[in-house]
Amino acid sequence: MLLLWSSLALAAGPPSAEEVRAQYQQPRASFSWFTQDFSPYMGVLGGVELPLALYVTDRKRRKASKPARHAVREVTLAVRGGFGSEPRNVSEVLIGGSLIARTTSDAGHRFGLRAGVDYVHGFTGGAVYNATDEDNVRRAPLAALPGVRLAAGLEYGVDWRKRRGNPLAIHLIPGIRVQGPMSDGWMIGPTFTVNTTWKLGGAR
Amino acid sequence: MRLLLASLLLVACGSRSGTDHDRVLYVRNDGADLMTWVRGNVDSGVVLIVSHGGPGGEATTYVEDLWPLEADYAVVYWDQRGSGASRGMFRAERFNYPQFGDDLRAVVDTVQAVYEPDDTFLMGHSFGVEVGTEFLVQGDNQDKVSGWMPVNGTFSVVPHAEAQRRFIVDRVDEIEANPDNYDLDDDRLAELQTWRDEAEQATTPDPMERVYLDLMWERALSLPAYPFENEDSDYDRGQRGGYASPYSAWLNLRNERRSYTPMDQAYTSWDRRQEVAEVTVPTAFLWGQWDPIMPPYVAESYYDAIGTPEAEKEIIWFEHAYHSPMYEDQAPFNEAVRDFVERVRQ
Repeated sequence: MLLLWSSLALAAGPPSAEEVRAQYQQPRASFSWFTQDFSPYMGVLGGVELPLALYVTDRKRRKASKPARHAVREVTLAVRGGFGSEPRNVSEVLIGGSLIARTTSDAGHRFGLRAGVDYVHGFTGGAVYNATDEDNVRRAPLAALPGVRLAAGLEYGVDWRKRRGNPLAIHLIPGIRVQGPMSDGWMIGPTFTVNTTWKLGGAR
Repeated sequence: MRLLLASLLLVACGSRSGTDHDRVLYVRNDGADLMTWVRGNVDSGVVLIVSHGGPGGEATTYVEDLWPLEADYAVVYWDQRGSGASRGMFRAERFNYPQFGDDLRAVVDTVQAVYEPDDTFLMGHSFGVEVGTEFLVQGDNQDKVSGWMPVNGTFSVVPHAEAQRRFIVDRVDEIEANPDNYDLDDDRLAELQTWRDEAEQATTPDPMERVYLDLMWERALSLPAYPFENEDSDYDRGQRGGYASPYSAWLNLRNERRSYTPMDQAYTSWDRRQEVAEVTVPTAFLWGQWDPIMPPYVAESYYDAIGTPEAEKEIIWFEHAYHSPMYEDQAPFNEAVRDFVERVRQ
């Protein structure tokens, strides 16, 4: 069955530029895991990627008899929400989005730039005490800390190119974030994200 | 449903008992959130509060050396403001010695309110001795503690610089008498002898001058280390990391850059020689004997200056250690801590 399936796929031939455009024009589901500050902080984000602009270019053919190869340049809007937490310190709810400028080569390698903003609502996880003197030691209230998180990063990924429509991509994104106002002022620090996207709906 | 809610509330409040306690608090004082990690035997009725070195160091590293004490006592590792995993929004003017002393006061008050120990002991290492000294000379703070253990740290900038001057003289004399123990060429030996001669002629300024302080520091730390052998030491390092640890490499790096410069500048004029005469807390000076940073003469000066009665103070030398005997001579160090605590408690 697998042999038959592969034979049918080969017989269909490589996709045309229009077919590649159709594949990438569709929204994709997105899931990310991220960490920051070389700390125990971890977070997850789920959402969708919506292509805003798409350019499909023909790559130079090695031989005229060879089929055309296509690279894809896109500007995509990612909308997401999620949760992050650092044990004994803080938990956060995040909602926001980012813009992605990305190139996918004909071999499926992806390079991009991401920049985004999230609204963050944090809660202190560790117990906080105020101690004005030995007779006045009290728990501080579990404070909700609203804030803003600005993040940018470089993206490298792999688009698992399939004849029946590129269903899955995975990206590694080292970056930097600025977040505040926090109890620590505006915090700037490194981030690292692993992101995967997959095409919503069926294959072509 | 009620039982479930009650259970959740109990978990949320955190346990305050046990022999294997492990809890992180944040003590909020004057804009700083001070990470305070309480570990070990809280049922013992004894709390040992450890003030780290620096300025700008961090407390969690001491877990690796002091964890054997946690079977016997509750050990509290706390990060000073702008250090380690501590957080907060405060102006740069808050980096001063009285503030650091009051921060320790807030930590002591919090720990005593939460855990209600019978006895509270303080340990300070390097800059942590300065913090502990500042705490002890403020108000009636010394009445809150049962004992004080300074480890290779000072109570004033002047005896510190004087100790380094004397250390340069004595070390170069020793190097000169035992040249085979050191890999020195003639030029290097001549340079050291020049340093020794200049140190013999120098007079430590009082009040301190920054140029002199920096010169003694640079030269003392440039001397070849005393080559003791430590083959019999029994090291058993603990782990301070892990996912649920409060330690953060990035936060530690960021904080280190914040606090070192202002506190180092403040150190030039920091002097508690008169104030420590009013301190009468039982004290054990735990000292690495070959330390160029805080030479043994600092321990002797602090011993003479503190107001503690003779019968209640002592200096314990660690002959196989430099600046950090808890690390360099771990087992004897922890044994000395236990001995002191138990003697005071009797």
